[in-house]
Amino acid sequence: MTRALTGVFSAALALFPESFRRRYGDEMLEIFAERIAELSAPAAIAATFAEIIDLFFSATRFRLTRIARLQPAMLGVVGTFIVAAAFTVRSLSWAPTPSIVAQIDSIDFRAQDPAGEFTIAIRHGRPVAATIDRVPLPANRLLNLGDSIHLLSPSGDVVLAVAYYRERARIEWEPRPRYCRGRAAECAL
Amino acid sequence: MADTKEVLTPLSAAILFALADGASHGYAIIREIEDLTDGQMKPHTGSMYLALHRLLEDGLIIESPMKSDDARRRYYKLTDAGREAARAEAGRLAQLVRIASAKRLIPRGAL
Repeated sequence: MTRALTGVFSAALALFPESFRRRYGDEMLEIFAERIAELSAPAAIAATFAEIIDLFFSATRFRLTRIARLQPAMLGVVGTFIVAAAFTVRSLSWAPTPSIVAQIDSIDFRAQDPAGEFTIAIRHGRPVAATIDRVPLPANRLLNLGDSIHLLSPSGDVVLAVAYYRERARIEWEPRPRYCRGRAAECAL
Repeated sequence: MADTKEVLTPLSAAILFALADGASHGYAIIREIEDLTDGQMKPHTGSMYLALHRLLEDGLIIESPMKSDDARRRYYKLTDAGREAARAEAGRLAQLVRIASAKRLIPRGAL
């Protein structure tokens, strides 16, 4: 009985976004299992029903809050574009060059999201350096996969995935959550 | 940090009060809240973790490095801002109780 109810609760956890489940799912499941283990079968079924209704409302509240918080993050994307454009114009105005594309490809992005600040230096279309919270990232933790740039934690997990639009001199990324603030170089997505 | 006057729900306040004595994990926090409120508040798991998540995001609690034999179990503890928010909330509640007391609204034996 406990196993079946735990399975139902585990399936209901899918109401939350994956990032939330990855962070809290195991703990929530453990607490649920401990709670219903203390109950009789009818009480356990009733408790499971109540927990699932609560999951539904909690997950809805979480998603609504997330949408409300994404709006400032979108401003961050626009801000990054403006900064990147400013760098590009400045580099173009300093000296005439044989290739405009080569100059546009040499950009330093500085951006911010709820987890903190990061920079990425791109030379000739390829990322050559990056910092997270002003700490330089070792070269082996900077990965270029097609149009994507991945910044890795010391254990090799992706802590930031950035899409680089070369022709538009622009980057976009899914804002990192605020709970990564202060440990953004290790906080896996 | 977010404005704590805006974010502190009764459950968030109860979590901060439960953590006032030191770091604790999710299930122990739920038990503590049930004990502190004489069973009047029985947080469900989803609400509990949503509240914990918001408190973490607002910097009022942090994960504690304390470990148990169960690797899934995370411990949480108050930050300085969290303790301050708990104090402010307790002060606000005490003021409300004083007002209710002056108006003779508190049942005998309730305090």
